[in-house]
Amino acid sequence: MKEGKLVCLGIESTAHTLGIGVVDSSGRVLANELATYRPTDSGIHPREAAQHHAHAAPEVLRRALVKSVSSADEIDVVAFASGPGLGPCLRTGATLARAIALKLGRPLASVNHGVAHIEIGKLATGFRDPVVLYVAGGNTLVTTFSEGRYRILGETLDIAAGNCLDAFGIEAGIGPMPAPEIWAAKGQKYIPMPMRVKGMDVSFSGALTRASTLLREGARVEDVALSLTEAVYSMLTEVLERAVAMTGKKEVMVVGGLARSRRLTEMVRDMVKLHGAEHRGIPDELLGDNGAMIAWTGLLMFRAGQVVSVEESHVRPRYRIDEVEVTWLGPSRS
Amino acid sequence: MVGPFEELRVIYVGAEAVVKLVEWRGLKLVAKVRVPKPYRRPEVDQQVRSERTIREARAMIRAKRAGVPCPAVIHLELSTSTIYMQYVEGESLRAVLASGAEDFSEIANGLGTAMALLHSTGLYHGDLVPANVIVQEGMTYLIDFGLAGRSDDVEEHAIDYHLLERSLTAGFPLIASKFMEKVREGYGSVLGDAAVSGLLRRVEEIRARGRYVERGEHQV
Ligand SMILES: Nc1ncnc2c1ncn2[C@@H]1O[C@H](COP(=O)(O)OP(=O)(O)O)[C@@H](O)[C@H]1O
Ligand SMILES: [Mg+2]
Repeated sequence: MKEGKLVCLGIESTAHTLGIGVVDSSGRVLANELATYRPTDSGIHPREAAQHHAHAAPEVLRRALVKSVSSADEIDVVAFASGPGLGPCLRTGATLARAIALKLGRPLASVNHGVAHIEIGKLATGFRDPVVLYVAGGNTLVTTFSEGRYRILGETLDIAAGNCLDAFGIEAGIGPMPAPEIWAAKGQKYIPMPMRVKGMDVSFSGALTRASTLLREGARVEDVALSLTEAVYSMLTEVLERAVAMTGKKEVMVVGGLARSRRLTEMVRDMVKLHGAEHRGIPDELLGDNGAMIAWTGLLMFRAGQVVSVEESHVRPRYRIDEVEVTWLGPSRS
Repeated sequence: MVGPFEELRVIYVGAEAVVKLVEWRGLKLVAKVRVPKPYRRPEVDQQVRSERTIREARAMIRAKRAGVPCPAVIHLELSTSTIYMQYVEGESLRAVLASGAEDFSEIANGLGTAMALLHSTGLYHGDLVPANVIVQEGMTYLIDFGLAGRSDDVEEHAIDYHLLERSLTAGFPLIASKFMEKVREGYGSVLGDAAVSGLLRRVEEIRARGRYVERGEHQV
């Protein structure tokens, strides 16, 4: 191993986004390039998305390398997101990672996508032991580090929060997020929504069904958008609040694509004040799916000796964050 | 007119509610007040607080009738989202376990029994975590019914079990599985072994579904 800083290249390809990032061991993001698959209709087609990623890969890789290093040899570790995500997309990223690692003769780090959202959030905020709300199109959970793992304190019992708002936006004909939030700003009245919270778990399908019914009954789209977003964000903030109260931890961050929501951020900021806790924001480009977060987490894992051989570099579409043994944080802090 | 309630002290300030010890006609009671949350829109806030207050009082009354150890509801004040209830002296299960208690068999068994009585009367708790169990001389009382509801569907009952196990695993990973074993014993002693296996099957299903996805490698 050479002297000085380590450099890791990370590949994200769990869903819509192919991201390739390069990060060094001082936590500097040297490159964070991406290409996003946009389906022609509403759904995501895993195979089409994977094809998109495969097509975009050479160009995204080229851009990431040009921005970050003078020669690919400077890369010490190659990391890839092994899950959770869509099988075909994951395989595309993993194949690319293996090829680069073999070509350069470098070790591979197999990174959990959710854990990467958390680790890059910690890097960006400077937090050491936060309570985390992870909200995105396909994921909704509240987690914090305890006894060697990120423990899931709460999660959705059915659909993800992002998925709920996207599905509503598409059905209303205004498009996915952020459209529902933009329309909500023009809403005038709140129509009661089912707010199903169980412990620190949430369920959004009832609210989504109610929103669809209201649309069919001819309610104003603005009002339904307002009611649904307010209900969903209130539920999310409430379970996060419960986690803050339960753990007594004072650092709070929200990660994942939906963390870009201004209204959700506002609610979380109002909430943490009640508990003497602090919320810190994260730049947008590190909130959505991206390669830098995979690179940074890969680097942490590499430094802790957590690498895999090519043979062990499986993809795991249903990889939960609490399956990851977090060896890079040292002894448990809680 | 029921009052006056004389406030003695605040015993708990939580995420959702403030719990006060009050005296009423020489009796010690607890007043659970759901406080407004400034982060919610006022209409949402009002909806959440009154829905939960009504839900909690209703569930406690039903649970009590079914013999579930839980506080008796004395009075309800909807304008302030306040429930006045019997004061249960003791320690929360969370505190008991955190203090390193090793002899928890009886407590766990009692909790399983309470859970089974609750389920057998067509109720689910909705927030069954160690902090919502008060241990009084070996007796286990359930409190905090704000997320409870009526359902004979094994699904809701399985979620109670799942929440309890998950919160024990998160908070007390070293004893969780032993504790849950005793919970199952208590549950089975009321509802029978078949009910326990039915419950566990559904717990597995819930975890395998949606976000509660199964574990394991998917080699490709
Ligand atoms: N009936 C009661 N008797 C004694 N203590 C109580 C009673 N109800 C609540 N408490 C105390 O207040 C705390 C919070 O009550 P709980 O109903 O769980 O509120 P929250 O919804 O905020 O969790 C409990 O952990 C317990 O210590
Ligand atoms: Mg409670």
